[in-house]
Amino acid sequence: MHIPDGYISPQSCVVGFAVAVPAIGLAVRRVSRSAESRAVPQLALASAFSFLIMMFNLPVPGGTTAHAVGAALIAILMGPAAAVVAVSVSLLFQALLFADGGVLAYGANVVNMAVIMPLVGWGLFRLISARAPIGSPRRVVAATAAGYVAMVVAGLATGLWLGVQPLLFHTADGTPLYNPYPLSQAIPAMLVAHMLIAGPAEALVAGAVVFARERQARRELPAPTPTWSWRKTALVGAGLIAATPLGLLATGTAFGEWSGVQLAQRWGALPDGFARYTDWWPYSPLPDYGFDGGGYLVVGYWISAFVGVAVIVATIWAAARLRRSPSPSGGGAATPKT
Amino acid sequence: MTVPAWLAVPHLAEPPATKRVHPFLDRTVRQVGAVISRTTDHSASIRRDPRVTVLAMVVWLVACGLVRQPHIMIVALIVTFVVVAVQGRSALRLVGALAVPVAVFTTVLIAPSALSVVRPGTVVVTLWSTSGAAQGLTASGITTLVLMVSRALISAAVVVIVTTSTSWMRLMAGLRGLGVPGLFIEVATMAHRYVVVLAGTLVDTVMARTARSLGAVRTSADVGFAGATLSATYTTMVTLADDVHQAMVARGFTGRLQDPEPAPVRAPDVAWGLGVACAAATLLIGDRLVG
Repeated sequence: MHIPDGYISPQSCVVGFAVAVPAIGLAVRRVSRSAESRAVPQLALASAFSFLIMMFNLPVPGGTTAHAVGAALIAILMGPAAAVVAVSVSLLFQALLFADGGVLAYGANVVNMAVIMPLVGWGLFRLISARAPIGSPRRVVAATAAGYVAMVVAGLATGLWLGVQPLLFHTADGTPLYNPYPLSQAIPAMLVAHMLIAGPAEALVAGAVVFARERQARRELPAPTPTWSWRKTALVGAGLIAATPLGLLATGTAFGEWSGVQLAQRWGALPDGFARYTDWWPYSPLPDYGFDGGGYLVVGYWISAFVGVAVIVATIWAAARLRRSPSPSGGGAATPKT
Repeated sequence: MTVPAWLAVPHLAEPPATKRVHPFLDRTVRQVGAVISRTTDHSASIRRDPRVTVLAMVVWLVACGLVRQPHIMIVALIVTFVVVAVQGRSALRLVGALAVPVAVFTTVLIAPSALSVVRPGTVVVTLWSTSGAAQGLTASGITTLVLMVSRALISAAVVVIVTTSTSWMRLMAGLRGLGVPGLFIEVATMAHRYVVVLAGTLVDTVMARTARSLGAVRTSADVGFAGATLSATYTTMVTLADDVHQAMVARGFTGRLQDPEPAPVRAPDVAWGLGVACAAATLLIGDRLVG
C-alpha cells in the first residue's frame, strides 16, 4: 500500500502534505493535552511496534507481499490521535531509512495509513463494541472487523490516489506521466489485494492483540454484569415499529417487486412463467403489509411490523430453549437487569 | 553377557531437515535483522547542515518528478548515482540492495501498461500480431516505464545519500529546524532507538520457536504464531513504555520539550544547497527545451 515516489505527481504530493500536515499537527496537539509526560515514550514504542508489524510480510500472488500496519490496533488501544502520530513516525522511518514509500509521497501515505486507517478502525470498533464490558468477546470481534475494514478502506484510498494520475497528468498525446493505470484498473487491483491478503492480516493483528488483552482483563476483573435490559430493547423496538409507516412516503414499487399487473403495464406483456406462478400463494394474512381492501395503510404497517417482530422473537426463543441443555445445578444464565 | 540385538543396531537421531522449516518466520527474521543493522549503522560522517540536506533532497525529488522527457530523466538518474558513488562504497552497496528490488517491482507493475493490448498506442517493439495488426510495446508505454523506474531508483538513491551522510539524530534536528512539531520529533528520535529493542525481543521469540521445531512447518502455522508473538510484543511494549517513562521522570523529565538553539547555517552548506537547486533548475529547463 506504500506509494513510492514517481507513482503520483508532485502536485498530488502537495495535496497529500496539505492534508497530512494539519492532521499530524492536530493529533500532536490532542496527544500533548491529554497525556503529558507519558505521551512521548508511549507513542515512541507504539511507533516502533507499528514498524515491526509491517515487517511481517505475507506473500501475495504476483511476487509481491502485503503486510498489516497496526494503525487500527493502536487507534483502538490508545486513541486515534496517538495512532496518527505513531504510524506517521513509523512511515517516516520506512521512507527515510528503507525507501519503502516515497519521500515526496510521504503525505499521501500518511493520509492513507496514518489518518484514514486509524479513524475508520477506531470508529468501527466503537460502533460494533458499543458499551460492551471489558473482557467481552464482542470487543474482540469488533477489533477484528475494524482492522479488516480499515485496511480495505485505506487500500481503496490508495487506488484513488493512483487511479486519478493518468486522468490529470499526461502529455498532449495522452502518455501518462505517473501511474498509468486508470481508476477502473487501479481500484479493483488495490481492493483485491487488500480484501484477500492485507485486510485479513490487519484483522489478525488487531484481533490477536485485543483477544490477549481481553483475556487478561477477564482474569483480573470480576465477571461483568450484563447492562442491557428488556425494557430498553422493548422501547427501541416499539419506536422502530412506530416508524415503519415512513416507508409509505416513497411512492412507486421497488425494482423487481412489481405485481403481474404492473409488469404487464411496463412491458406490454406478461411472461408465461410469471403469469403461472405470480399468485400461487394467496393465503398471506397481511398482503403487502396491509389489508386486502387496501385501506388503513398506516395501521396495516404497524400490525405487520408487530406481527413480524413477534414471530421472529418467538422463533429465536423457541430455538434457544430447544438448544439449551438442562444444567445439573439448576442455575441458568444471569438474568438481565430491567 | 551378550549384547541384545536391539542394542547392537546403531540408533541415529533423525537428521535435521535441510530445507527451511519456517520459511515465513525465516524471512521475517532476516528482514528484522536488516532493520536492526540499518538502524544501528552510525557510519554517517558528513557534517552538512541537516536542514539544507532535507531541503535539497526535496528540491531534487520534485525536479525529477516534473521531468517529462525520458532522456533527461536518465541524465538525472546518472547524476544521482554519481553522487552515490562519491559517497563511498557502503552507499553504493546499499543502493544496490535497495535499487534492484525497487526496479524489479516497478518494472513488473508498470510493464503491462506498455503493452498495446492494455493501453493502445504506436507499437515500436512488435511482440506478436493479431489479425494482421502488430502488438507489443508502445512508445508511450515505454516512456512511462522509463520515467517511473527512473524516478523510483532516484528516490531510493537520494534516500541512501541522505541517510549515509546524516545521522538519524541530525536528520530529526533538521526537520525540527524546518518546523516539524517537537513532540513528533521527540517520538521519532526515541522510536528509532526502541525499534532495536523491540526487534530484538521479536527475533528472540521467533528464534526460540524455530529452535524448538523439527521438520517443515506450514506457513499458516507460522502466521498464527506471528499473531501470538505480536500480542506478546505489544505487552512488552506497554511495560517498556512505563519503565522508560519512569526512568525519564526520575531524570527530571516533566513533559515539556526543549529545543536547543539551532546552529547557524554555514556558507559551504548554503553553497551546496544552491548547487543542488541550480542542478534541479537546469534539469527542468533542459526538459522543457527538449520537449
